[in-house]
Amino acid sequence: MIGRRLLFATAAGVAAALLAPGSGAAAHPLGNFSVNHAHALTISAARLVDHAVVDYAEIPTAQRIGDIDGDGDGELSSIELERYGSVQCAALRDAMEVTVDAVTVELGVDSTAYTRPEGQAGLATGRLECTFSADLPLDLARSASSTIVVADEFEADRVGWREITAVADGVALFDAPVGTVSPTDALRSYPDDLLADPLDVRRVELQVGPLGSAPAASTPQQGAVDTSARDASRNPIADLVRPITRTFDDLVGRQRLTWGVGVLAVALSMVLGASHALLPGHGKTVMAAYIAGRQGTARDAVFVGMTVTATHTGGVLLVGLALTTSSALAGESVMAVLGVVSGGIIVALGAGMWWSVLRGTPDRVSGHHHGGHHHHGDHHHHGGPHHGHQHPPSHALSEQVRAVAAGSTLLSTPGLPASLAGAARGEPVEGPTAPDIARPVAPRSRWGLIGMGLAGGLVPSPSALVVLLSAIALGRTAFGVLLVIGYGVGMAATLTLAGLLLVRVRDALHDRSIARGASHAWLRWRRLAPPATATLVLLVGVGIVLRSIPSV
Amino acid sequence: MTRRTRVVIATGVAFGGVLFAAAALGPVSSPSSLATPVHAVGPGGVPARSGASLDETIDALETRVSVVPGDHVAWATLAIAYVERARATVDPTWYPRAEAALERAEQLGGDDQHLAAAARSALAAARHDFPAAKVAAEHGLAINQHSAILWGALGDAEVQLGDYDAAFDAIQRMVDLAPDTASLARASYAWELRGDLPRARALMQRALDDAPTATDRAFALVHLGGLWFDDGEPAAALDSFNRALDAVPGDIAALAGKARAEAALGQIETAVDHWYQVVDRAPEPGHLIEFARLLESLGRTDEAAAQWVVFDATQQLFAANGVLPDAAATLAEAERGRIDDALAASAAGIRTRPFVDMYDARAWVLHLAGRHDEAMVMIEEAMSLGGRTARFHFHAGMIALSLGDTERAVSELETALEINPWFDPISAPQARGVLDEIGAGG
Repeated sequence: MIGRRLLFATAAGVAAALLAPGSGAAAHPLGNFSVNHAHALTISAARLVDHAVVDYAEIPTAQRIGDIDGDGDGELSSIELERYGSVQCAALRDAMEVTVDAVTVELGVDSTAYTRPEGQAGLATGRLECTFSADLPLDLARSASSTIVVADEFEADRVGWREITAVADGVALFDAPVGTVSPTDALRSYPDDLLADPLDVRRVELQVGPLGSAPAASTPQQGAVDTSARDASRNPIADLVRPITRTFDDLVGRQRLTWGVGVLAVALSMVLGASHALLPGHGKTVMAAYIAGRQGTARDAVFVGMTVTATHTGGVLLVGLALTTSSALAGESVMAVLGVVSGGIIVALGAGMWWSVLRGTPDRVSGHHHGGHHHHGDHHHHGGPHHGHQHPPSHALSEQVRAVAAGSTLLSTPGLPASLAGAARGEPVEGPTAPDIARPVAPRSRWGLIGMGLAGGLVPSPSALVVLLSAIALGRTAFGVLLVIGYGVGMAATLTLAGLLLVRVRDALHDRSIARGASHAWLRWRRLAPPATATLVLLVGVGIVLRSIPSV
Repeated sequence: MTRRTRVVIATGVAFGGVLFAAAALGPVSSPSSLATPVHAVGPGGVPARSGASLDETIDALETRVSVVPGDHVAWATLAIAYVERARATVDPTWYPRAEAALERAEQLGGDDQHLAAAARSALAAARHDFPAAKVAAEHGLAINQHSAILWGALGDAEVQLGDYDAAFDAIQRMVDLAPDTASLARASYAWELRGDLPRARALMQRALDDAPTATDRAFALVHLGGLWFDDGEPAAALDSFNRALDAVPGDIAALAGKARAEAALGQIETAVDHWYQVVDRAPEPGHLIEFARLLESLGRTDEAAAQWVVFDATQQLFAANGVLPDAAATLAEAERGRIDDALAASAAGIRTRPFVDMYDARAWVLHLAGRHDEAMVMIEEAMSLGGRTARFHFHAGMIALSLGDTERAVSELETALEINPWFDPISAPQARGVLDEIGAGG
């Protein structure tokens, strides 16, 4: 009950003093409570050797005095220390798991020692040193690649530095996830960068095989394998953008902003915007559908590109500024409202398309431009008119829904982790865009164009929002606005270029199909496509609205 | 996919820096946010509005500062979060890291240092340097007087410095700015100090009802359990501690409370088991003292001695680091016969930390040194705030007895046992013994 009174101001604070800076020997970076582990593995063809060290800081050492002092005379004799060492090494061995190709290997204890090096305040620390070894069940120099797993669960609930290193002797270690040299000289000196994460490697999985058996000899690296780098290779655009983004982050985060840095940052934001527009979402689908349809012209492409960009930039600025000036405003509801509006516009577009179908507006079915069949048509649509379930449209639907969901889950909780999860979950996955949705019955009026642009650009892209918010966080609001505008200009450039390219391709295809004459299947598709695509657009819109409403 | 990763990181960046620090904690750069309601400070001052757990918050902030190392707001918030994590996990490892993050924030921050000041204050308090904690909090409030977290830090320091009016004012300001778990818990404590346990409990219940995360729930439940225990209701306390453990399995403060309540309820073996778990994972002085006293009361002196060895090691480390023992440690030293050390420590404690607990410790040390008159002055000071603390009444009773005031002694000892019959495994039976003796003699 004494301790409770201290909880508010001090609580663990009592112990804080144990780590007050300026103390003589700052032996343990993880504090006087810590129990630190190191395993140095040596793997040869038929044998595994582990030099294990456990370094007990002052307090856990004091806690173990009673266990060491077997005869209870208050003195720790060398015999008592020796015995304690062997007992503890056995306990450590029992808490370890070593397998070779999933077969458990029993470690033998070769040597043990427990010493008490002096620590802070004249107190002792404890140093347990054990050598374990085991014969391997197979000859690594002769067999194919094997997997060796070493895991240490000893004193698992104690705070501590945990490192594992591995060297190969006469065999090859492939892509070793751990280093060969102890960064702490076997727990004798710890790094003094307090903000670096302490090493916490409790388990290592090593691929071992005969020398020269693998394409790349191992170049061991400290720490875990960088998974993000592996993921990155799946997306070439993102891969290209990565170094730019990194440079950009550095620039924006700089302490001092010079003209040069500022101009460079704006230029980079344009590049980022341009590359962002290459990723799915952001109205490209809708725009592409329109352009690829009968009526789109180069001018329309420019117009839609600009609308998307203007809408998007404005949306980012509004949402970003609103979020930073009012903590009462929850990000998720803003995004949800935008999602509903965006979905509503798509519904309206779909309804307009249906209206045209019902009216049987002749120029929409038989206008000479509709020959702009996208090359998809030949492969996917020859099966007949009943294609509500076809891949390209349904993919487009899910892409749109996901894109909007991305926007809303991104902000679903202002808390970071949820938003992180949301972004990870929701960012649309790259896939074929599906121009087929709206193609045959794309609305032709300016309002239709504006609607498409709005629907596409209304939900702010997370990365542009981030650019703005991080600049604001650094007290550079104006700079952030400038960057977002740069981002928008970059997007406009890409979208317009993409649109112009589509117009070109469409015209070329159109000329070819005129020359060849339209096939029977194609004519049937052309007749039934308008209601099908109108329905799909409606469904997309309704889906977006429904997805957004729960969080409004 | 890197794009995704990048967005993830960058989003973290944005929300870490802005939603947490700027919008949630108060104005950072734009005057328009001055009017922002400040309602996002968790128990230790960590923004808790989002429902994000502390670990998630820390992860995100660490990502933030690795991406934008120049963001002083994120560094300061991270420092606060580290202090909070140290408190929640009873793992002091996080203090040096908090210090390092704080130094970054101060290097980068320029004129805008109110969050760094909050972190500085929390760290100073963690190190028992309450004058420094107060100075840091006041410095921060001069920059931003709408920061709930700073009012809380000031309140914490003022309580320890014995300026209760200033403390309660600061806590009131904090509640006005942000009626959340952190401020309501402090308000509860303000009433507890003045002896109004029902009101303290009601406020702590509100703090519990408002708790946005499991960590906050456990925090409030642990305090609720403590309030029940101190009011002589170990069964209700046990229930509260169990609920806290449901919220955050393995929570050290909850486990210690559970062990304490179990001992009071006669479940001795379970209690000892749980105490062993506590001191094994978090061998901090307060826990060691309480466990050692329980073991002594059970006649398990060898086991108690082992705890005292560890306790002595902690005190040696304190001394080596120039930190004075707190009230509990001073009491423990005195009980173990180190009267001279305890006299010096308590005298220094009264100078640096004239809190009621320190007066109580000083009183008891003086009493054990045979200076009963001075002891009586000190214990009166400890009780002047009106707190219903069984230990104070026990000490007052024993001091009165030494002064020959049997009537006062009986009344004080009876009050102590009436407040909480289980207030201490050694002192409570001692009080009963004295009462029996006086009863038999009279």
